[in-house]
Amino acid sequence: MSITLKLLLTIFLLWTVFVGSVLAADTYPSKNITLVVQWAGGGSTDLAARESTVPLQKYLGRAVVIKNVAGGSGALGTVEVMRAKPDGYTVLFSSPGPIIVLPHVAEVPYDPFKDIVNVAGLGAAPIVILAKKDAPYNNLKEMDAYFRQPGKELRYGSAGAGTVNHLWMVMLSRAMKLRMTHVPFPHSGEGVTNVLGGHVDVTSTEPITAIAPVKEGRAKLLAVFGSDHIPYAPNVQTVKEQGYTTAAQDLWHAFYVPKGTSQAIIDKLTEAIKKASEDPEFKTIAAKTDRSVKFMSAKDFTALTKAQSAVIADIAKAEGLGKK
Amino acid sequence: MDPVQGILFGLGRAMEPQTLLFCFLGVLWGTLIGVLPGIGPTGGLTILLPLTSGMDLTQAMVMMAGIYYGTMYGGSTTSILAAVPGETASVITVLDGHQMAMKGRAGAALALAAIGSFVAGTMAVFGLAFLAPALASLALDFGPPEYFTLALLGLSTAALLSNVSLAKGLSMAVIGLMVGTVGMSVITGYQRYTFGRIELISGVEIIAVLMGLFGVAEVIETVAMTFRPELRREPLFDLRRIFPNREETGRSIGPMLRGGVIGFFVGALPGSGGALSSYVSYALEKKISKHPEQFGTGAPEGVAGPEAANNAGATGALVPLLTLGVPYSVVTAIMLSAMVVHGVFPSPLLMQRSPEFFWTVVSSMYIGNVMLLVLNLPLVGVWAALLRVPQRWLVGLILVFCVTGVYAANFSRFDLLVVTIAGGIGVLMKRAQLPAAPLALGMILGPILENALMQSLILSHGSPLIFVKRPIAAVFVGLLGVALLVPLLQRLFGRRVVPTTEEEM
Repeated sequence: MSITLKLLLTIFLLWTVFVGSVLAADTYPSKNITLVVQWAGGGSTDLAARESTVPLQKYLGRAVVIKNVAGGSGALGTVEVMRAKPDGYTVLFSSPGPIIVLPHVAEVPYDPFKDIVNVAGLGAAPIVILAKKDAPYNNLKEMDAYFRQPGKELRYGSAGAGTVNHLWMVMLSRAMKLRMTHVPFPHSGEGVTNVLGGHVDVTSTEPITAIAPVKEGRAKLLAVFGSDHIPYAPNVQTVKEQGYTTAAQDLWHAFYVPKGTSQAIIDKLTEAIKKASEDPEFKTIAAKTDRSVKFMSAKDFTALTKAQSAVIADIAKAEGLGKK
Repeated sequence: MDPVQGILFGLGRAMEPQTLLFCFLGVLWGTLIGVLPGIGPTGGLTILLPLTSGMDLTQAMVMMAGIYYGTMYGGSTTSILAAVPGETASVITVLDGHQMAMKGRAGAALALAAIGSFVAGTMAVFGLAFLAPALASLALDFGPPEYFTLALLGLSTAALLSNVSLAKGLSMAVIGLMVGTVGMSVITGYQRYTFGRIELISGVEIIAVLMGLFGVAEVIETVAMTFRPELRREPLFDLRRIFPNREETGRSIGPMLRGGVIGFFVGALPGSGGALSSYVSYALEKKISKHPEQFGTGAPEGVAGPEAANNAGATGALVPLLTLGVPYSVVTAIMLSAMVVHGVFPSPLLMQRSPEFFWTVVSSMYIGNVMLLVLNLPLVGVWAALLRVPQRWLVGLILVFCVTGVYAANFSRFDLLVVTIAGGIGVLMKRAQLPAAPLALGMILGPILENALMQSLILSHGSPLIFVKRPIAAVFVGLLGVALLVPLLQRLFGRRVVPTTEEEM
């Protein structure tokens, strides 16, 4: 290869890189976008992510492909995105745990507020409290009164120590000033069957896992932790409405990109996510599985998660969870 | 409609060309991913997720169920031919299935596995049709104490999984239990044995360990043997006698029927799954056999029973899904969301509320089992013929499938490390004649045992009496006592002592 040719080639390459970076934001997205999910295919986060890809593709004009990077309670998927090229083609679809809980209970190699950048939040199905149909209480006040009687003990199930299902219940226990016994299960589903079988009194669970027993009249919801009512049980009041303001916590899914991604790209993504969240088709599908799709700007969302993270840090310490 | 009417009605609907097609696609795909080591029903179903989301609910369920029980047919193939289990539920089939292949009975073992799967699958479909609502309420009686005592009973079978020595079998089971504790504790949130690696927070991926212990180790051993040809033992290929002979068939009928019953009931317990049912079946067959010393050397009962059980277990696992509406595995979670999106809510009353859906799905499973039998019996010849290919060529392919299957599950590079390390350990275990099956059992049962024990003690405020105060748990404790005491008494009074052979699994 002659020197001239080498030189020409070098100039050409430099030129493409230069122009490429200038034009990147204008042409973005010019190829398919990978949406990293921190959990295995088929789980609730995965399904929510898959549902969101349909409207996102519509507004981004490019295919959005799910990549399941499971493991480490969500840490692996988060790290995958943190270490990806900050070009807007690797986006994280995060569940709450790896952002607001995991850093307080485990050694993780990332700071969720520094190493990854939030694009937007999407409201997700809140946690609900489920009891057996024939339980002698129908809401939190009655539950509180019932278990304050001498000799009574409230045993609640959760999806495991350090899950939001558990932490929200701890917050409620604090707000109520009622001692509760925590019986951790590996999945929400086991909590639900243990309520139905009478092995525990109540359980905190995602609405989807409670929907069949509630619809069939074998169980009832006592409260919703989020700020909206559950579509399939619209009369069930939120924790806040029932007077336990400090325990009211919304759940969410959120989009993150690696640190260093250009603002122009983040803006484009934000816009597409906002449009997607208003897409009527998406709203209908999400409503069927009781996922609210409320859009949250990065600013509001960061404020929310920072507050949640602080509360959880406090609880984790008090409950002796995770790292010592 | 009553179950008989229901099945007849459902058969009519399931015979419609489109439903039939999806049923066929499901079982075909299931068989395929079952045959491929490493990739199980979860991975197989996840790949097809985008496809099922737009489908009609009944057809989607017919197909998803087909994939689920279809994998149980395919899972035994590599267990028998190459001592590499196709998925978790076929680990136990390695013990006698591969030994049968060594003796030139690979075809017979494959055929027994297929027929056993068919018999048990059919039994389980009828179980689903007639017993589902009753079972649902029984399953609710299972709280933590019941699960703990049941898991303990399951663990006691570890002693029967080793032909070498009781001590070796039990110590491997204990190591399995220990590996099962790695990761963040569900009960306390503490991290155990993670050494600061985030990959270990969710524990050690069981399929990666199994593929290492069985798959990679087998491959390494086969390759190593090429340097010592005088030690090499290859499965014999005998095309003239592909199908089971009269003796093999006769010995397998009982295990198939018992496997079907065990598999269905164990599978129907939320959270236990098909893998445990194959262990229970194997242990039972060995226990009641007139010639337990043949187990591990190619006893047809050791193939027919567990393979029947894991297939019935896959069908039984639909009981909690369809009647309680509570998903326990990723596979059933996918099915639940599909149902909920379409406005079908599982309950004990599902067969009255949505009879068309329920009976079409149940009947399609019967048709699917027939399809699988028709599909798999001719394949027996094809698979058996694979043995004519020298093992050292076949092992390369097996290695590729094991590793890609494990990687495809989570796209985790760390899992590849786990496969490799487990492979190395597997070779050492083979050399030391340490059985791997009890280790797998320990890993499967470990989390159930630990969580259920802690949950029970939380409920009882630390009193172990909870395990004998509750009737179902007390029955399991009683059975456990019998299982542990009888051999001891036999030994003490010099009655029948089960001879052990030096045959390694």
